[in-house]
Order: sequence, then C-alpha cells, then structure tokens
Amino acid sequence: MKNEEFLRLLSGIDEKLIEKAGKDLENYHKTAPRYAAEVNSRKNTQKSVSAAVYTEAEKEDEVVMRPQYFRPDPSPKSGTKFKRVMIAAAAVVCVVAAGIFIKMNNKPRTVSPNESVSGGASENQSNSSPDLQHPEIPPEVEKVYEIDPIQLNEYLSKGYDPEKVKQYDKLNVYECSLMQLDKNAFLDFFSEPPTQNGNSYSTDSESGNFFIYENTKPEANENGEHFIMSYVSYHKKGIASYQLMFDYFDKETNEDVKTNVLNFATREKMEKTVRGVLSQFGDIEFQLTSRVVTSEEFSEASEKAPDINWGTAEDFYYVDGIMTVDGLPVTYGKNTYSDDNVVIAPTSFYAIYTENGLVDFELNNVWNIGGVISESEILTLEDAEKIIAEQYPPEGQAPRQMIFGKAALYYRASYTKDGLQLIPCWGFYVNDADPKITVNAITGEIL
Amino acid sequence: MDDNQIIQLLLERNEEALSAVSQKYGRYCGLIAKNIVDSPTDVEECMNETLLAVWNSIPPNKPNNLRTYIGTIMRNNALNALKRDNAQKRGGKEMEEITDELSAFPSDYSVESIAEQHELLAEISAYLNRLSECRQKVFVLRYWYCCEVSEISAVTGFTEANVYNILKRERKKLLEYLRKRGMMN
Repeated sequence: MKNEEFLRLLSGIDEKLIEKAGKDLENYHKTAPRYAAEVNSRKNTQKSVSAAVYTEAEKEDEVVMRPQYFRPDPSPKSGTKFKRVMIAAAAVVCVVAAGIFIKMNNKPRTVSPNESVSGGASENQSNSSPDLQHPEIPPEVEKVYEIDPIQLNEYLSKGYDPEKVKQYDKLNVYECSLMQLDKNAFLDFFSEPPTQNGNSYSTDSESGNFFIYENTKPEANENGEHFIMSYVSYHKKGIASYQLMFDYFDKETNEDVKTNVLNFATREKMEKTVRGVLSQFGDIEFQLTSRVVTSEEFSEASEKAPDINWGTAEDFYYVDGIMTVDGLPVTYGKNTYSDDNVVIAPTSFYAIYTENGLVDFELNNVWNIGGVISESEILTLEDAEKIIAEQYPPEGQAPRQMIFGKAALYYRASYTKDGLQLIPCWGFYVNDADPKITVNAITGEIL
Repeated sequence: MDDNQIIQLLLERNEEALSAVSQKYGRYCGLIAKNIVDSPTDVEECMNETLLAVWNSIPPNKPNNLRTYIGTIMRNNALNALKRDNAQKRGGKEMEEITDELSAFPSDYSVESIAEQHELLAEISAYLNRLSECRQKVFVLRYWYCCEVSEISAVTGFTEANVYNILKRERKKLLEYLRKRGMMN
C-alpha cells in the first residue's frame, strides 16, 4: 500500500466534515434495505409486462410504475403517484427557475444542434458526427434543460435512434489491452514529457494557477427550497470548466436532487487541434462528450466573480471526449470475472486550447483494439428490456428503482475469464451520463 | 439515551454506557469498518476494541461530539486491523486503490512531528471547508469512510464518472494548496 499513513492522518480532520458525510452515509444504508424488500415483492407482477421501467429513487422509498408500460400497481399505494407527480412538478418549476437564472446571467450563446445535451454516450452516438463538426445555430441554450430527469422520462427514445441501431444488428467482441502511450510523441508535440499517473497521461501545466469559484443562490417557494449552484474553475489562462448545478431540496421528502444543467459548446478550431494531437498517439477514434464556452461568453458571468480576468473571445476553449469503436463509445468497464468490483476507468481525454495552442491535455485509459473474437447478432432493445424486467434486481442486491430516460448501445471494456475484451452492451440511463443498468448485448447477461 | 447521558455513565464508570454506545453507534461503526476490513470477524473485533478504548479514554476525555469521537476510534482500529491483514497479505483491493490515490501526499510522519501533523490537518480541514458541501462529502466519504465510488455515487446522487472527476480534481487542488502553504515539498 502506498500511503496508509496519510489515510490514517485524515482521521483527525474537522469533526463537522466527518459528521455531515457520515449522516448521509448512514441514512442511505438505513433506507436501502427497505427498497430491496419492496422491489423484490413486486418482481413477480412485473415479469409479464413489456418494458423494464422502474422508478429511479435513490432516496425514495416507493416504486412507481408508469401506466403506459405497466399494469396498474396491485398494491394499495394510492398516494404514491400523486406524490411523485408533485415532486416532478416541483422539479420542473425548479428547472424553469434555473432557466431564468441562466438567461439572466449569460449572454445568448450559440449552441450546435449536433452536440450532446447531457453528455451521455448514447447522445453522442446519435448526435455527434464522427468528424467533430458542429455547425452553429441561433441561441437556444434553454434546450439544455432537456436533461432534467423528469422531462427525459418520455420514452427510451432519448439517445436511442431505432434507424441508427439497425446498422448494428451485428457487432464484434474485441480483444483489447490498455495502450502504453508513446511518450516521445507526447514530448514532440508538447515539448515536455507527460506526467503519468497509472494509465493517465497529462501535460504538467495543471500546476499553474487554479481557481475555483462557487456560488450558491437559494430560492424558495411553497414546494421547498431550491439552490442554484454554479461552479467555475479558472485554470491557467482560461476556464477549464464551468458547471451549473441545479440543486433541489424537497422538504417533504427530505430529498436532495442534483442535476447538471449546463455543459458547453466547442469550436471547430480547437477540435482540429485536438484531432491533431490525438492522431500523434495512434489511429484512435474519439467523439466529444461536452461542449465548451469561450471567454467572451463568460464575460457576463464575470460579474459574479469580479476578481477573475476572463480574457477576450477566442482566448481559450475546453473540450473533453471519449474513445469510439465502430462508431460506438467505449465507456466504463468492470471486472466481470471476479467479484471484486474493480471498475475500469473510462477512456477519455480533455484539452484546453488557448492562443498559445494546447496548454493542457490529458488522455486516460486508451484501449488498444486487438483482434475480433466473435461477431454476433445483438439483442434488440425490446429483448434487453425484457431481460431487465425479469431479472432485476438480482437476489441479494441493493435495489435500484428507476425510470429509464434513454437506452443506448456502447462498448464496455471488461475483464473476462478470457482476458480483456470490449463487449457490446445495452446501457439503460436514467438522467446521467453513466448507464444505471448494463446488459451484454450478445449474451443478455446483466453486467 | 442521548450523548450527554452516555458520557455521564462513562464518567461514573457504569457499564451500561457500553451497551448504550453499542446500541446507538454500532451500526455507524460497522459502516466505517466494513469499508476498511474485509471480514465480519475483523469488524466485530474492531467494535470490541473501540468499546474498550471508549471505556479507557472517557474519562479523562470528555468529547464534545461523541459520535465522531467513537467513529474516529473505530476507523483507527479498522486501519490497524487492515495493517495486520496486509502483513498477512489479506488486504482489500478497494483500500489498495484508496491508498494508491493518496500516494502523492506526504507519508513520513514521526512522533516528533506531531505539531506538524496538527498543522497539516488544520490546513486540510481549512481546504475542505472551502469546498461546496457536495464536494466535501465526496472527499470525506472516499478518504475518511473509505467508500467505494459506486457507494459514493449512490449516497450523493453524482454519477460515478462525476465522483471520479471530483476526487481527482480535489486531490490535485489539495496538493497544490498544501504546497502553496509550505506543507509539502
């Protein structure tokens, strides 16, 4: 073990910090077994329905079924749906409030129709063109609110394009291995060797100025208190990232709902440069996962942090992306061979581009794709839904109750008994960039 | 029974205090230890050691926050058990990951440097207190409660990817902060 002593030292940090986190942890574990009992007791009634749609309620104690996909709930839970609707309505109100907030605090900005709204892999799959082109459209930034979970719960069609998936009636399982980056190529491009941390390679410029600005704006209405939080990290010559969090606290349910409501657009010039640097390290396909804003677009926001010199337009851009294979994103992996739950970190990169070129770059967990192990027909989305309806949650596992907002195909890097493999999977999403449930698209196994 | 009553019983050397501690904080202590040591036997052993330590340390101590006081003892006992397990090559992979993540931080503490340790702890606490509550929780859940990323994701509502990112960024920023404060080379 590398630093057990520091871990031990941390025993003495501020008691309040320990207590706050400890209460959340304890509350979570107190409520989880109750969900399990409830979901398991309903599993039999759900087996015969056509779609696997559960209520995502990480701190909610009741299963809610959606009438368009489920039979009526046989158990007497008359207040449940109303409660859920009220929560949904409250959340929508909050989203609108967040919208007004954004509108008031940001200049109208241009966003591209091809960019992912939520940053989810599936949306990249269906929306991002492989050559990273992002034509501009008039300001419609409010569209980002579509990522609100309540609004996403229309059907699995968000991020799922049936026409597109038809192209994938067969997919491969690949051998793969973690790529060792060519450090000389890195040195040639950046005139400095990479800083390596595990399978992560980055420029050293992160040791430059770093500033994070956080602002929390509380609001309240009859449904409870809402907090709109914005995070800006100011990184070297430019903004490294900006995240507007929507934090909704419902007094009735004691539930804290956090949603990232804003990602950023990017620009062609930077994309070209990023593509250039990525090509140094091999024939790797990538697609973007978030959008970036320019310094000018943030000049309005600067009134919230007057000490920051935001620079002028074209000063900097930030982008991050994810590796693709066969046009499908490669996301999280997991060790399916043993029970140790080792998660393989996702393949990704991020870059910050300024007038001086790329000032910051990081590449993580890139996979070398080896030979094709097998080519097989993939399960349809409907088949995958049925599998979840029948098998989820597994015996003895803490429950995950959710309404899926979207589904998508992607490749998942996994340790298997035959070694490291890229396996095509169906991911079922709630409101996050990460799938909540993953089904092996060939074998039907829930991973 | 509230904390003051438990402390009063301990001060009076009344053994009922121990069953009250066990009843009130047994679950909490179990949550702390289960993330650090693998076997239920170890967890139970840590709990017994914790009760003994509470009995032996109150009095003379009179903690303001009994919950955190007991939790901290439990954590230290679990880390001791982990050290024993490591000596026997039985360490958990998650703890290996967590300690690996902290590899950039200083590790050479000695008895002589207790004052420095206090100073370092004060700086770390000051840094964490500057963070938003959600980020504080992510950091503390990982590096104090030694939770898995998936568990932190479930507790906080962040995606696992976000948890990874927050941890990575906060580690880097904390390192930078400590360097600027002259706490690290």
